Amino acid sequence: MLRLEDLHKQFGANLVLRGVDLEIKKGETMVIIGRSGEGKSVLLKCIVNLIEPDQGKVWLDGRDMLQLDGKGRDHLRRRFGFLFQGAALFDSLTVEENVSFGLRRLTDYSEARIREIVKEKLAMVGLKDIERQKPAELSGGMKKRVGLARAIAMNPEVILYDEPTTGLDPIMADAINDLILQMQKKLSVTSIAVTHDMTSAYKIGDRIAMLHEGRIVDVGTPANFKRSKNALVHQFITGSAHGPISLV
Amino acid sequence: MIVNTWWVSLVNRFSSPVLNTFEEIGKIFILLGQICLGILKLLRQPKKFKKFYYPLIMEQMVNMGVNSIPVVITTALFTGMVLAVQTGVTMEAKLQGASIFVGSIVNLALIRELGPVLSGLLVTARVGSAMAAEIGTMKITEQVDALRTLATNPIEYLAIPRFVSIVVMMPMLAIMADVLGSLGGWMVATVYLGVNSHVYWYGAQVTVHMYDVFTGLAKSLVFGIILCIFALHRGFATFGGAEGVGRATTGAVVNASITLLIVDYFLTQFFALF
Repeated sequence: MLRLEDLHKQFGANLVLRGVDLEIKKGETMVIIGRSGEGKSVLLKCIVNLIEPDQGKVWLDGRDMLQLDGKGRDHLRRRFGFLFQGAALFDSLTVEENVSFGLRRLTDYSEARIREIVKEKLAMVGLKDIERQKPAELSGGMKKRVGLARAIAMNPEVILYDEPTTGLDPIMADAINDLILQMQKKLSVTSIAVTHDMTSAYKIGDRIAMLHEGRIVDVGTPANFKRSKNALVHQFITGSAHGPISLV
Repeated sequence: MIVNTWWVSLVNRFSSPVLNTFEEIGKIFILLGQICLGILKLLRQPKKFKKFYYPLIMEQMVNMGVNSIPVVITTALFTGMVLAVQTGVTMEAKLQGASIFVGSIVNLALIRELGPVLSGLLVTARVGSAMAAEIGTMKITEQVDALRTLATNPIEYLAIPRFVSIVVMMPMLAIMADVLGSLGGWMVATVYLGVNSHVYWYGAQVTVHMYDVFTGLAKSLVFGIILCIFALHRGFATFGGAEGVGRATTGAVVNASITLLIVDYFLTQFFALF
């Protein structure tokens, strides 16, 4: 369904992506792991063209997203939902306005229908009666849930999760993992999550890919990853400071 | 062969800020172009404009314009009063009875220069800083990216309502500054300097022409565009956390204020041609 081909991205002298090739099948959850600063979030943003890659292709159902004009990209972006690391809720808007943002701007639904959808999506992420609250009044976990409700409001086919459990306590992190699994079951979406939280990766991932020095160095199921002979993968999943991955 | 002499490094050192400045100017004009094209595009979609952008523009007009009224009229009132005292006392000391010209001087200075410049600088400090900080914060907290993922162009959603609001509100604030400054001058002239009220207003009437009012308003419009475009540019270019927001805010206010004063000189020269 989604194929990344030879993606390169450089910021100044810093080569972040050096030829990423990865295929994500329809309906699967692909987790991309890697050290902080390896370019996982950059890769995710390249997929929806929030960051323009220097080279490479992003194929979605046989169409290269990077070749499209602004209107075409906007149209294709509607097929994606994006959960940002810090949720990225609009501060000046209420929860209801945040979740309904895309619905109001991109659909012709009536106010009553929009309110109904907002309620339904908030219920899906385990929230209710917070429509009038502003993001500043919410806890970190609630913000992530509202962010997820906003991401699924337009019924996307692909959901991108940028560090979905970072900054949350273990219980809330597990609750978010459960939510991601629920989204998968209820909505049958294709998901791509980037994380360095292995507990989360094992729980939510159908397959895991490891990004190291700008390239995908291994792809496999969680079970295969646990048994991997790849020294880079082994060092990362065991969280060892000693091995081929240098600390600097 | 690589030539690496002291003068090469000296040229590099001094050319870098110059090139950066030109790059910045280029980006500012590109942003201005994007905003103007965006406005034209929206004008062709009246339904979308009315549904989404009209409420945003109204909200910004209140934030930027209506909420700036107290600071603008207070400053203008006291500037008019100070101007009347300074000119009246100075002229009276040199030539007895010359304070009858206070009305002419105060009103001409206010309408041509002080009204637009003072309101421009005050709105830059109050609105420009807030605009750069707000958009800068949205940028570093990925809210600008979130807009894009929701198929919404940040220029359309964030920049255009602010730009349109400031273009409409700045001349209105300048008119208020003119009126309040003139009233301040009138109070001092009649109460403190003993100038006849009729003489004060007659002096204003014969000295100030419609052309002066027009040039003052044209200046305030240009100043509004300058402060808005600098604030938006710095806001959208913000990086590096809270420190970056601080840098963007300071940069927006300082750059806009300096540019505003430089442009004021050239506009004054230009309007003096006619």
